[in-house]
Amino acid sequence: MRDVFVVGVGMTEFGKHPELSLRDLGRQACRAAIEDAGVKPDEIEAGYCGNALASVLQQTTSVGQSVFWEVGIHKIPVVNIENACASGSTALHEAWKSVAGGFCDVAIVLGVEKSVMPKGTALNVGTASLEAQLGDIFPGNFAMMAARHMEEFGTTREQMAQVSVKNHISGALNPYAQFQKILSVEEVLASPMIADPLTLYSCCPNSDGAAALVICSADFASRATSKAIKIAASVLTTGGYDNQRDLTGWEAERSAAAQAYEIAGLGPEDIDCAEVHDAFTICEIVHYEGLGFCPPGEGGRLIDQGVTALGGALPVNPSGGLLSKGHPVGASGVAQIVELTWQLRNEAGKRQVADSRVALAQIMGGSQQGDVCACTVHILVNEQMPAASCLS
Amino acid sequence: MHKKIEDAEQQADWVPVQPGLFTYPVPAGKKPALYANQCQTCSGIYFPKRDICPVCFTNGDLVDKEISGCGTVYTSSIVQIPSPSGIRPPYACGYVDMALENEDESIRLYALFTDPDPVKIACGQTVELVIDEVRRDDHARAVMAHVFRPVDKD
Ligand SMILES: [Zn+2]
Repeated sequence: MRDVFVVGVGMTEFGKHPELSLRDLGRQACRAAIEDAGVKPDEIEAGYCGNALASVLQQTTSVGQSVFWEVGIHKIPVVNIENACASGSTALHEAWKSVAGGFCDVAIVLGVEKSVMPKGTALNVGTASLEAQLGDIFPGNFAMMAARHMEEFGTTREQMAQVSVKNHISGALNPYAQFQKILSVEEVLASPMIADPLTLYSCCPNSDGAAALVICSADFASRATSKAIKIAASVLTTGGYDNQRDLTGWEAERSAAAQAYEIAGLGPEDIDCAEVHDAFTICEIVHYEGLGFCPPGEGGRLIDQGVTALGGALPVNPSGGLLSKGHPVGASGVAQIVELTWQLRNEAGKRQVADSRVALAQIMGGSQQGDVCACTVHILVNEQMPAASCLS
Repeated sequence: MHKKIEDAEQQADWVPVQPGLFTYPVPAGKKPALYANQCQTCSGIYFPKRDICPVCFTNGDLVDKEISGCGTVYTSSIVQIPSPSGIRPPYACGYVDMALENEDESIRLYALFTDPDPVKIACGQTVELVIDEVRRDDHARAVMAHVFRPVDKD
C-alpha cells in the first residue's frame, strides 16, 4: 500500500442555511479544498461523496455527481456513500483505499448534508426496525448508555455537562461553528430534558453544511502548494449486534482504535489532539475510554482533570465538536479531518493546539439492536514535524 | 384474497407491532410470552426469531424458545420528546435482562415500560413482561407490543 496525504481542505460554516442547496454547500466546500490543494479539477481522478439523509429529506440521490460537476469534476468514477453519521468518514476511507491501492493518484472527498428541520419536528431517520417502532430514538439510546455508565462507574451529570461546556468554549473560538456561545454547567443541566439524563444542551443540533478534502499519493503531494498531512491509518468497522452486550462502550470502536494504532505504529499516548463523535455528551466520555485515552470507566475523571480541554494534555474536539460546531450528518466526519489538518498545519487560529504532530478522528453512526452500525478511526501525522521523542 | 386480509385487518381493533413476536390475546392460563429461538451449536439466542444463526450460518440447529415472566432492568431512560414512530412522551424505555424459560441463559431486550417512574425502572429493578398497547395507528387501532411492568415489592 502507498502512503496517502491530505493536501487540500475546505468547509462551509455549519449552521442553518435555508437559502443554500446541497449543491451550493457542496460547491463551496469543494472549491475551498481544491484551491487549498492548488490542484486543477481535471487532475482529480476519483470522487467520493458522503451523505446520509438527502434521499429522505431532499428526495434526491447521486448528490456527489451533482456537486462535483458544479466545480468542473466529471467523467471520472464518482461514488455516493451512506453510512449514517459515518458517511463522510467512510467516503474518506474508500478514497484512501483507492489512492493507497494505486488505483488513482488524486481523489476528492465530500461530506454534505442539510438536516435542519422545521422547529418542533424530530429528525426522522427511519422507523422500520422493531426498536425504532418501540420508540428507540438516538437521544434515548444514548441516555440509556449514560444511565448504565452512571450506575457502573459513578459518572455524574455534572461530568457529562462539562463535555458540553468544554466544547462550547472551543466552538466559540471557531468561526465555522454553529454556536458561538459559552454555556455553564448549570445552563446545560437546566436546559429542557430530552431523555433523562440528557438535556437539550447535552445533544448536538441538526445542521446544514459541507466539508471537503483533496487526498493524494506521495508523488503528487510533493507538487502540492499546501503542507501535506499523512493519513497514517484509516479503519472502518461494523457492530457485532450481540444481544447480551455491555452497553457502556462499543467493541466496534475499541477494535477500530486498536487496528488504527497498530497500522500507524502509534498509541493513545502519541495523540496530540482528537476530534470524536460527541453527538451527545456521554458519547465523548465513552470515546475517551474506547480510544484508550483513559481506562474503562475513567472518562468522567478525565474531563474533571481538564486533560481534554484546550490547553490540556490531550485536547478533544478543539473545533467545538458536534455539540458546538454542529452536526450536518454526512459532513461531520470530513469536517473532523479538515479541523485536524488545520491543527497539524498550525492554521487553527485561536483554538490552535500547540505543537500538534499526531491527531486522531473518530466518528460512528447508525443503530441496530442497540449497537453501532459503522465506526471509523483515522490517524493523521504531520511528518514535517519531529516526533516528540526526538525533541526530549 | 388480498382484499379479504385487508378487510379482516381493518375489522380488528388492534394490530401487533410486528407479526410473529407473541400471541395476543394471551391464551387463558398462560403467561405473556415472546417467541425467540436458540442455536444448539453456539447457544446464541435470537429475538425476534431468525431463519439462520448469524454466528454459525446454519438453520437446522435453531430451536424455538419462549421468553416470559420477570427480568432485571439493565438500563433505562424517560424520553420527553415524541418518537417518529408515534410513541407519545413522556415514555420510559430500557434494556431488561430476561432469562429463557426454564434456563439460565438470558438476553438483553429493548422495550418500553408501562410506567414512566424513574424509581420503579432504575437499574436492578424487577419488571414483568406484559403485552400492552404502545400507541394508536392511522386507523385508530391499538398497536400491541411487549412492554415491561414494574413489579411492586412487598
Ligand atoms: Zn450458532
